[in-house]
Amino acid sequence: MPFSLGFWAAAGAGGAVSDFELIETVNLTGSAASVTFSNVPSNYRHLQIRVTARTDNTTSRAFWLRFNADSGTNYAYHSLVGTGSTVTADTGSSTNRMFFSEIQNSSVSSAYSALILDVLDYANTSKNKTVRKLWGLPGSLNRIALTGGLWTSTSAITSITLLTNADNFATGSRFSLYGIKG
Amino acid sequence: MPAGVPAMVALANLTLGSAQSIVTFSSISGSYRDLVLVINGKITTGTDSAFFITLNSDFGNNYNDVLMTADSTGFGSTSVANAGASTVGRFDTNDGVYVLNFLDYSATDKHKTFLTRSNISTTVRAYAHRWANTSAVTSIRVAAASSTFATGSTFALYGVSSV
Repeated sequence: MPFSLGFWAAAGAGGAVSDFELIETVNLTGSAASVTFSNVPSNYRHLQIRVTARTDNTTSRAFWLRFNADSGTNYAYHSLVGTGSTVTADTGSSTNRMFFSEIQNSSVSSAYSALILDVLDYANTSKNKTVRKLWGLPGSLNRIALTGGLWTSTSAITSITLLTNADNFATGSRFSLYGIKG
Repeated sequence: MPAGVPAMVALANLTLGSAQSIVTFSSISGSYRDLVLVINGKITTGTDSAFFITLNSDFGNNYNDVLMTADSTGFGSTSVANAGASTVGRFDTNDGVYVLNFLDYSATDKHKTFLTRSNISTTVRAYAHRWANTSAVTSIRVAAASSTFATGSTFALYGVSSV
């Protein structure tokens, strides 16, 4: 028997959860090879990045990130990817950027990848930085993935750069950075 | 970079007082950027069942899913194209946790991609779904594929702002 809530939904009908805060959103109005969140404040415990993105290329591309503009070989990553028929695993170490995800190409109109990245203890100066990611591209290039990564640095993260491999994030791609208190 | 502003709002929180086969969140405001639906519950009978997600009462063949799963028997990945609803599982008589993230749900120039993580007893799954429609999502229908959602099952919907 259907049970319809059907009651609400005015903005602000519920209470704001103040421990999850928006820091910045970038909405691309033109294509861009990279997106950088700079001057990331240090007053949160964790960060979360939420993305809908696609490339302006018909070839699917990888999507990477760097912290604090560090292009040294200080990154490692691992991935578990479902393709719709198989599950594959991959790792990388001593890389100069961290694999983030594959990204939706422009072959399907209006289709975007969805990605959620958590950066744990990003401001802690006694820990290397660990991230975890959930991302997917359903329907065309079928992908669903759980991935993670390591930045072998104890520096507090003050900037995050998301970059494509060889082409651009397309107009309409969106990148939002949130802080989580703890 | 500006100071942070509260970004997550609890929109609705439902605890079933009796078994129900369908839960619908309707008249969803377009004021947020993303939605997060957290389900913690079980069905009254059966094993390895599923539930269906339908957006805006669209029962057309506009849903695409890709799944990755692992359980005590192994792991695998499957996909479904042009289905009449998105499917999420596994659902059985043990309580499970299902977290669905609908990104850019109110955009009118994007297909709606949503990501699901589910954990129940010995099974972990992750899904990516795409509703091939650029309409803003104004309703989410969660329907048990068989059986009914058990009393005590909870359905919580949150809005996530980006401005």
